[in-house]
Amino acid sequence: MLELTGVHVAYGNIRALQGISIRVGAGELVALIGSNGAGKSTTLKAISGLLRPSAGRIEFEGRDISRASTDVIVGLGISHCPEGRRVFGRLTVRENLLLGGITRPIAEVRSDIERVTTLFPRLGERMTQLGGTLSGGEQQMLAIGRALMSRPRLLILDEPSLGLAPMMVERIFEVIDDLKRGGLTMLLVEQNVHHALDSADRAYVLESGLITLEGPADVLRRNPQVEHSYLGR
Amino acid sequence: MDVYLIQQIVNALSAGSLYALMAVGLALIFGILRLINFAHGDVMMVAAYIAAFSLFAGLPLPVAIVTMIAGTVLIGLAMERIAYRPIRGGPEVAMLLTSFAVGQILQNGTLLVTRLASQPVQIAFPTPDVLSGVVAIGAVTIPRVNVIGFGSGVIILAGVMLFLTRTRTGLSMHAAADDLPAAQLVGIRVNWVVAAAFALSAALASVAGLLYASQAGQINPFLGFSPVLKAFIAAVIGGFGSISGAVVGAYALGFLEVIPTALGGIADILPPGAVSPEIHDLLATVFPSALGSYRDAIVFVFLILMLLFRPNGILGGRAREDTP
Ligand SMILES: Nc1ncnc2c1ncn2[C@@H]1O[C@H](COP(=O)(O)OP(=O)(O)OP(=O)(O)O)[C@@H](O)[C@H]1O
Ligand SMILES: [Mg+2]
Repeated sequence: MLELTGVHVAYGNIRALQGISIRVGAGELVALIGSNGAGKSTTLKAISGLLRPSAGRIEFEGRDISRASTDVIVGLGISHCPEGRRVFGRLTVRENLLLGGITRPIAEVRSDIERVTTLFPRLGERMTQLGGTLSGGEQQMLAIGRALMSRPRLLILDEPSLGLAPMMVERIFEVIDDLKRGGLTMLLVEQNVHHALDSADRAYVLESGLITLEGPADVLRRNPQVEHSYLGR
Repeated sequence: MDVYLIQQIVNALSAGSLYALMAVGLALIFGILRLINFAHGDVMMVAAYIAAFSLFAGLPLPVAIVTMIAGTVLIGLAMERIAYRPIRGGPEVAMLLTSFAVGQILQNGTLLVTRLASQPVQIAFPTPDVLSGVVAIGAVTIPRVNVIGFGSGVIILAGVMLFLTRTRTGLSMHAAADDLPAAQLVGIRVNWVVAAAFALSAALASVAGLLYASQAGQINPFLGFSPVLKAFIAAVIGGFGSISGAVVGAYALGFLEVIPTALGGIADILPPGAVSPEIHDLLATVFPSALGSYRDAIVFVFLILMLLFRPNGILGGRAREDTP
């Protein structure tokens, strides 16, 4: 479904990605793990068109999207839920969701808002509250809900459990598992490697802009290097 | 006294509408791009010229107004595309300097056109009949342009508010102002939203230009300076970048400006015997009839006090979805 081949991305002369190749098949949940500054967010931004690769190819369902603009990419069916949630703090929950569906016909957006509030009843109770006044967990639900509003076929999640209390982390992973059971394809970046590898089908390890390991999640979980660096055993 | 007071209030409301039409455009652009578009006054000036030349050419008023709005919107769009888009996201100083340059280009371009049309630098504005003369309400006579200016300003601003809070494009402007990359990620076409904001602010400036020129009766290529400055002050008073703040600030500024004029010489306007001679003399000393000529000085002192004590503006601290 998604295929990155030899992708390079640079910020000025900082070479953040140095030729990475990643594949996400339809219906798969693929985790991308790595330490701080490894280039995980950069990878996701390149996929969603916020950053332009200096070399390499990004294909979505056989179509080259490495030069496409973000709105086109969203329209094709990729939705990127960014690191740090980034909800529109001065807009209400309803307005945040409404804008999540900006690429969709307005008539369908209303029923989609109901689907999202069924998934996250907490949001349904807070439709007129400003995004910026939600708790961290509620903001993360809103960010995921907003990303789902474009009816993506590929959902990209950048550290959805970041800064959340354990209960809320559990809740977020329940949602991710639900979405997976519903057949949604996902690419997940997580610091919470335990959880990520529990939910994922396959995983990639990114270090300093290079993919150093890849494989089925349960194999990687028993890999000594992964155990040592990311699982703290 | 009553008559005088009513006249002053209408003046304040009319000036407030004009400033609001301008200030909303400044706030809209600033909210999204962090750009203080000082060329905004020159956009308004160009609108006045397009209106003047359309009317000189004998176009009926509605056609002249449509021509004016369309022409000004095109200039706003061209300005965004040619001058501002290439430096979007750059240092704020670079954007500010670019806006001064754009203003210079518009002024000199207008000067060039008036030369080519063999017109003097300052020309009489062919004020349309509906905007000239006075309306009499009982004993009160008020310049008609002030009444229409106030009324049309309120209607247009109400429409803009509805647009910004009720339509997806309007909400996209808020979202882009709130978090540009996040707005991009949900699929908002940022280039389109920015262009729409420039088109809207140019359209508002064009209405202000028509009202301003009809009030002044004269136009020249440099007339945009004072209105853009006033609009900037209005936006600062209201809390810079906030749309509703800009509107509130604009009407506050309108009233602030008429206060010196209204109070100046108030002692001489009071009916004889209304106050004791001592109070009459006191009023005459505190509010001399020349107070009106210190209007701008008083406004700027107020601005400085605002910046010192309430830098976030009248509505600052109150966060609602009005900072695109
Ligand atoms: N806007 C930027 N300008 C310059 N360098 C950047 C920029 N954004 C990221 N980088 C650099 O690129 C590298 C990769 O950053 P990236 O944000 O992709 O890391 P990450 O793997 O997501 O890390 P984290 O787990 O901390 O979120 C880092 O060295 C970072 O300093
Ligand atoms: Mg990151």
